[in-house]
Amino acid sequence: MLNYIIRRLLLMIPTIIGITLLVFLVMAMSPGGLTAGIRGQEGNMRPDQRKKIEEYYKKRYGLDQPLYRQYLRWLNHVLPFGAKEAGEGFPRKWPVGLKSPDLGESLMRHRPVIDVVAEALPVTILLNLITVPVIYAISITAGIYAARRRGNSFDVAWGTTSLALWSIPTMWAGVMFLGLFANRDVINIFPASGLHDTLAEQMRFLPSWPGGVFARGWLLDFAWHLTLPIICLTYGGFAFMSKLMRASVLENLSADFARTARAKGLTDRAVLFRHVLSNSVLPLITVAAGILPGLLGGSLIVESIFSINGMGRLMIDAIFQKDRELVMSEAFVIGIVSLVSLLVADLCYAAADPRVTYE
Amino acid sequence: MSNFAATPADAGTDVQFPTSNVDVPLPWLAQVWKQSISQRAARFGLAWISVVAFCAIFAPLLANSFPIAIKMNGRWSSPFLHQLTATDVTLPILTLLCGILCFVRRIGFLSKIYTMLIATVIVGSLAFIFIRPPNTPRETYRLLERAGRLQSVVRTPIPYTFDDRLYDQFSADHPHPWAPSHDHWMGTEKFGADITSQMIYACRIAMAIGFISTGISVLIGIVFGGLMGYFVGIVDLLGMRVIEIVGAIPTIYLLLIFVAAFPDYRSIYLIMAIIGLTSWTGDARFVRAEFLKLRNQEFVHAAIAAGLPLRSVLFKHLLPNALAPLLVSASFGIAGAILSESTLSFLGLGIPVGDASWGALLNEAVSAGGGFIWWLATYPGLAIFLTVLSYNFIGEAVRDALDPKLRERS
Amino acid sequence: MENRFGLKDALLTFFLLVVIILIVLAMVQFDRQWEQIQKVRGQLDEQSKELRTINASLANGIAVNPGAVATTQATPTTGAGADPFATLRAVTTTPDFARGDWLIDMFPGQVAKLTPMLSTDVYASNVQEQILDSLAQRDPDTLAWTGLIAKNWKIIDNSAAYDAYVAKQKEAGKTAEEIAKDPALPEAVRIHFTLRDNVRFSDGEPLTADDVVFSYDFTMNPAIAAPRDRAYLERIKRVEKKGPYDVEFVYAEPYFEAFNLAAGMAILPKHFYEKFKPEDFNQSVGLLLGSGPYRLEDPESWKPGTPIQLVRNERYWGLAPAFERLVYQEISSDKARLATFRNGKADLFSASPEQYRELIKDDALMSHVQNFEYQNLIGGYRYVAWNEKNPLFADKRVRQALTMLLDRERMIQQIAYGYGVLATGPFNPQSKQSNPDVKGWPFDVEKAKALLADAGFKLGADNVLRMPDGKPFEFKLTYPAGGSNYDQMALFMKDAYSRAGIVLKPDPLEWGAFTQRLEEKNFEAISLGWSAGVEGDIYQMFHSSQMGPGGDDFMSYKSEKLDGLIDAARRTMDEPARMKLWQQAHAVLHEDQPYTFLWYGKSLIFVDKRVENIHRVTLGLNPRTEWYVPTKAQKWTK
Repeated sequence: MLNYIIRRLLLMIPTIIGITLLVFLVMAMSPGGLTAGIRGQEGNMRPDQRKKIEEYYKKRYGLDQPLYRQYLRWLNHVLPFGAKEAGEGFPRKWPVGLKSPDLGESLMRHRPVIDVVAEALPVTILLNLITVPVIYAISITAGIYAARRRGNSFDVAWGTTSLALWSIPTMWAGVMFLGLFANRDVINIFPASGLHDTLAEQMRFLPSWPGGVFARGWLLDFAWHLTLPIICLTYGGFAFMSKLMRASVLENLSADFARTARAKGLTDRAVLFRHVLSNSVLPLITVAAGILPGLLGGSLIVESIFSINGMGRLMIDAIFQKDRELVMSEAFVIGIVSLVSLLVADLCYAAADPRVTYE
Repeated sequence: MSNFAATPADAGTDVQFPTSNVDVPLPWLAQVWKQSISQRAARFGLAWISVVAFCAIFAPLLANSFPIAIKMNGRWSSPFLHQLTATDVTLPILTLLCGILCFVRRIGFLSKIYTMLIATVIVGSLAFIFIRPPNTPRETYRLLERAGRLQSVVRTPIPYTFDDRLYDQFSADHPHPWAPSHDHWMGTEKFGADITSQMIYACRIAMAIGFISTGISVLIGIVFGGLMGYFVGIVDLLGMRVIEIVGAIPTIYLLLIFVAAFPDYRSIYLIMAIIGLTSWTGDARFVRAEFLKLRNQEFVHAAIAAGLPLRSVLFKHLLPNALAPLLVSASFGIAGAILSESTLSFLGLGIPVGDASWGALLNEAVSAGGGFIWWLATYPGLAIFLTVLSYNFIGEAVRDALDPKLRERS
Repeated sequence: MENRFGLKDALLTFFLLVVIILIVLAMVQFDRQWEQIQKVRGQLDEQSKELRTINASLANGIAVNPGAVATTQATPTTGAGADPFATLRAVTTTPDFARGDWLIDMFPGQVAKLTPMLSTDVYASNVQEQILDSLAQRDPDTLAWTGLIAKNWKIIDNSAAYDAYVAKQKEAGKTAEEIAKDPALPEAVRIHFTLRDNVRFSDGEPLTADDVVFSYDFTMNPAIAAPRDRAYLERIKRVEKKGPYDVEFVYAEPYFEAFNLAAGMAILPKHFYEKFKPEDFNQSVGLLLGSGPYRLEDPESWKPGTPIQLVRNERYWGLAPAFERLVYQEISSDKARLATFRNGKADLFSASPEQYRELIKDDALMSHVQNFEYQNLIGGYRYVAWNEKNPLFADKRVRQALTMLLDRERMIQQIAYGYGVLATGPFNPQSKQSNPDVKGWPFDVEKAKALLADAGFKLGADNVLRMPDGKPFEFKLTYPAGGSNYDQMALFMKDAYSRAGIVLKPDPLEWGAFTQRLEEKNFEAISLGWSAGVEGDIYQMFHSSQMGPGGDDFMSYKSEKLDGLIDAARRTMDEPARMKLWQQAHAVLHEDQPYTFLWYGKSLIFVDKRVENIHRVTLGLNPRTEWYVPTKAQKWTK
C-alpha cells in the first residue's frame, strides 16, 4: 500500500510540472507578452516614463530573460530546494540548498502570490465544502427512493428531471435566479452579490431580537448570501450522482448476497438498509474526486455571476491581465488539489472495499 | 434512470456485446440506432435537433432583410438571391447531397463519409471563392418600400437579417433593447438587431461548434488512446501523464487560458479548435482501456497466433467496435461543447462582435442598470438548454441501447 | 464485513464534518471579536497618548497660533492663495450643519496596495488623497492655487536667462547634451515655499521642511520601487531645505508645469517611512500616514481584502470635515455595485450612461438619491485615430470625409445615451485651451463622398469604394475589448461607413495585446479615450517626436506647424500667452483630423439624498470635505 502511494506521489511530479509548463507555454505564446499587461495597467503616461516602468518590472520579474530561464526561475520559487536568492534575474547567486518554497510575486498586483491565493482559496473551498455534502445528501436519498420504486411515477419523473437539471447551463440558472429572486421589479428576497452584507462586520454573530426587531446576525446573513450560489452549484451535480446511486442500488439489489438475505427472511427494507446501501455508496466515493475539477469550473461561473471573490474570479482576472505568475500558481494549486483528491478517492475505495488492493 | 431508458429486465437481451461482434459492425449499429430511437426522449431530442438543424441550414429563408422577390419599376427581381453568402449556399447544397447519399444503398458507409467530406471541401471552397454578396445597407429595401417605390414585395417570415441593426429606426427616447412586439417577436438586443433572427442564425454556430469540436476531440482521443493502447509501456505511461495534465485543470480554466492567448485571431473556428483540444481526455482514456482489455482477449490471441499482426487486429478490427460506445461520449461531448461555447460567449470571449450566438445574447440579459431583460434571458437560455438536453437524451438512449450493463456502471 | 465503510460511517463522517464546520465558524466569530477588541484597545491607547500631550502642552502654556494670516510678498509671481477653508467655514454656519455620519463609496476594483508610490491604481490614489496633504491645491472653482501646507510661495522665473545662455552656447556649436551638463548653465526656475508651522501628521509629529525634502529624496531613491513617481518628479533637479519651515524646489529647464509638480507632491512623514528598509518598503501593502483630514486607523497593518475605512484625523491642522469616517467598498462587479447602492448600502455611485438612463427612471431609487450630471473639466474624450502609414488614411481629405460620414450627434444619443458633448479637438470645450472659433465637421454624407472621389476613390460594382489601384476601402477598427459600449460604437461605425461603400471590421483586443499593437503601430484605425488634466498637454499624442517607439503619436502624424506650437506652449510660463498657442494648435488639429474626435463624456453621479451641500464647481463637484449630513438624517453612526 505504502509502495503504491509513493509511486502515485512520484508520478504526480511530472504531471504537475507538465501542467505548469503547459500553462507557461500557452501564456508565452500570447501576443504582447506579459509586459503588455504591465504596460496596460500603467495607463496614460508619458512614453519615456512608461518605458522606464516597463524596464523596471521586466528586470524585477526576470521577463527580459530567455523563456526557459523564466520557467526555471518560477520552478525555483516553488520548490523547497534550489537557488536561495534568485535576486534580480535568475540565477545571480548560487547558494543552493533547502529554502522555503513560495509562489513568487504577482506581476500585476506586485504582491506575493501566496497572499493573493490565500484570500481567494478559502472562499472557493467553502463553496465546495457546502456543495458536496448537499449533492451527496440529495442524490443518495433520491437514488434510493427511485431504486425502491423502480418504474413508478417518482422514478420516471426523477429520471427525466435530473437529466433536465443536468442540462441547464449554470449561467442561465444564475441569470434567471438573479433576475427573478434578486430583482426589485420581480421578487427581491435574495441578495444579488457577494457573500456578506456591507455592515456584516457590525452584526452580532447569531440572530437576535434587539428591541423586538429581528436582526439577522452575521451567520444568517452569510447563509442568506450563500443560498443562490449554492443552488447553482449543486443542481447539476446531484442530477448525475442520483442516477449513479440508483443504478448502483439496483445492481446490488439483484446481487447474490441480497438474494440470500431475502431468502433468510429479511424484509426488503432490512435488506436495503442493512446490506445493499453500504455497498451502493461505493461508486459515489470514487466519483467524488472526478467531479472536483468540474465543481471548481462551475464555481468560476457562479463566482462571476454572483460577484464572489474566489479562485474563479481571481483566475479570470489573472488570465486577462496576463498575470503569469498568478495563473501558473493557480494552475499549480488546482492541479495538486485535483491529483491528491484522485489519489485519496482511490485510497478510500480500497479502504471501503476489501476486494480492491493496490499492490 | 427514466422510463425512456429501458430497465434491465426488458432491455438489451437481443443486443450483442460490442466486442463479440468483430466483422459486421453495420447491422449492429443499425440495431442500436433502432433501439435508441424507439425511446420517447430520444425522439424528442432528435426532433429538437432537427429543428435547430433546419434553422441553421435555411436561416436566410427564414429571416432576411432582403425580400425574396420585389417588383420595382414593373420588373420582378430577387435581392435575396444576390445577397446570399457562401455559407448560405453551401449548407443547403451539402444537406441535399447528404440526403441523396442516405438513400443510395449501393455505397458503403465509409465511402459515403468520404464522399461527403470531399464534397464539403469542393463546394465550400468554390462557394467562398465565387460568392461575394455586394455591400448593401440592410435597410435598403425597407426604405424603398416605405418610399412607395416597390409595387409588390415578398418577404421572409422574419424580415430582418441577424446583423440588421435597424440603422433607419433610431429614436433617442426609445433605445434598444426593445421588448417583444408584433414587429419583433422576441424583441431586439442591445445593438438593435432582431432577436428572433439572431436566434435562428445562432443555430449555425451551435450546430457547427457541437459537431466540429467534438469531431476534433474524438479524433484526438482515438489516435492518442489508440497509440497508448497499442504501444503500451513507456508510451502508455507518458500518454497517461499528458491525459492527467489536461484532465487535472478544469476545462473552463484551460479554455480561458487558451482563448486569452489568441486575442488577435478570435474567430469561431479557433473556439472550435480550442474546445476540441481541451475535451479529448475522456475519449482517449476510453479507447486505451478498450484496447488494453481487448489485447488479452482470447480471440485476439487466436488472431495473432493465426498470423494477423496486432496492429491490424487492433486498428482494423477492434477500433470499429469501440466506435459505437464513442458515439455515446460524442453525443454528451456535443452537449458539452455547446455549453462551453455559450459559457465563453457569456463571459464575452466567444464569437466575433456582431455575430449571433445564444451565449452572447444571454450575456445581455442583465442590463447595465441592473434591470432584468427577460426576453434576453428566456429565449437564448431555453435554446441552449433544449439543445443540450436533446443531445443528452440521445446519448442516454444510445448508451442504454448499447449495453444495459454499461449504464449501470456509468 | 466489520471493516467496511458503511452507512453508519458515512453518517458519522457527515456528523463530524458538521461539527468541524461549526467549530471553524465559532473560531471565526472569536476572531471577529478579538479584532474588535484590538481596535478598541488601539483607540484607547491613542486617546490616552493624546491626553498626555494635551496635558504636557497645558503645562507649558498654549502657543498662540500665528499661521492663519498669509503674508504676501512683493514679487509679482508670489502666491499664497486665499484661506483654503473659506467655503467650508461658510458651510459650517448653515443651521443644519452637523458633523458625524459616514460616507460610503465604492471602488470597481480591488485595491492591491495603499502604500504611496507603490500603488498603481486610481482607487489607492483616491484614498491617499484624503490622507496625504500637499503643499498647495487648486481651488476647485476658481482653479487658482491656494496654499495648504505651504503658507505662501515665490516663483523665481529665470528662464529668460536660461534661454539666452542656451542660445549662446548653441551658436558656439555645442550639442544639447553638452549644454545640459554645463555647470555654468543657469537654473531656469526656482520655487520657494514657506510652510505653516502648525501642521502635524496624524500621529502627532510636526511637519517640517525635512519632511518635504525627504518626500522628494525618498521618491528619487532608486532602491524604492517607485518608477512612476520618479519619472514625474525627474524634472525637479533638487529640493533644498532653507529653514525649518522653508523649502526650495529647483528646476534645470523651464517647464510650464513646474509649479504643479512641486505643489502637488504628497508630503510623507520622514520619521515614519524612514524606519523601513527599501526592500521592506517595496514589499509593504498598507503603509500610509500623512497630515490630511483623514487617516487610517492603523497606518501599518492594512491588508488587501480588508475593508478600507478612514477615520477623521482629529489632529488635522485645518478645519475638520463633517464625515467621521470615509468607507470604501471594493466591489468589482458592476451589477453588485449597483445592487449595493440601490439597497442603500453605499452613498455614492458613479454610473455609466446606460445605467444612468435606466436609473433616473427608477422611482424607488430616486426617492432616496440625488443625481448629478455634468461635463467635467477633467473628463476625457473618445476618438478614432487613423494610421497615416496606411495609404488609405494618408490623405487629409479622406480623414475629413471619414469624420463627416459619422453622425456624431446621433452617436452621442445612441451610444452615450445623450450624456456627451461633441468633441472638436483634444481640449475640453470648457477650458481656455479650446479655440472657440473651431466648429466641428458637420455630418454631411454628400460632401464626404465628394471628398473621397477627389481623393481618387471610386465605387466598385459590389458597392465598395476602391482605390485607384483597385484595392477595396476595407479596414479594421481596433479597440479595447470588454466594454459593450465600444462594441456598440464599432458596429455603429460599421453600419455608417457601409453606406458610403467603406467596409469596417470591428476588431476588439484585450488591453495587453492592444497596447502592443499601438507600440508596433500595427493597426489601421483604433479607438480609445484620453483623460484630461486641468490643462491638457497634447505633446505626447501629437508631437512628431513622439512617433518613435513608446510614443503616443502611434498614427505617425506629423505637422511642423503643430510641433512648433506645442514646443512654444510648453516653454511658456505665462498663462494667457500659452493659451493662445494651445488654441492655434486646436485649429491645426481640426483641419488635419489625425483623430476623428468623437465626444466628451459626462460625469453621471448619484449620491444619497441625506448628504447635503453638494454642488457643481468648475472641477466637477465640490470636494467631499464640504459635504455633510444633518443630525436627523445621519444613518451609519446611529
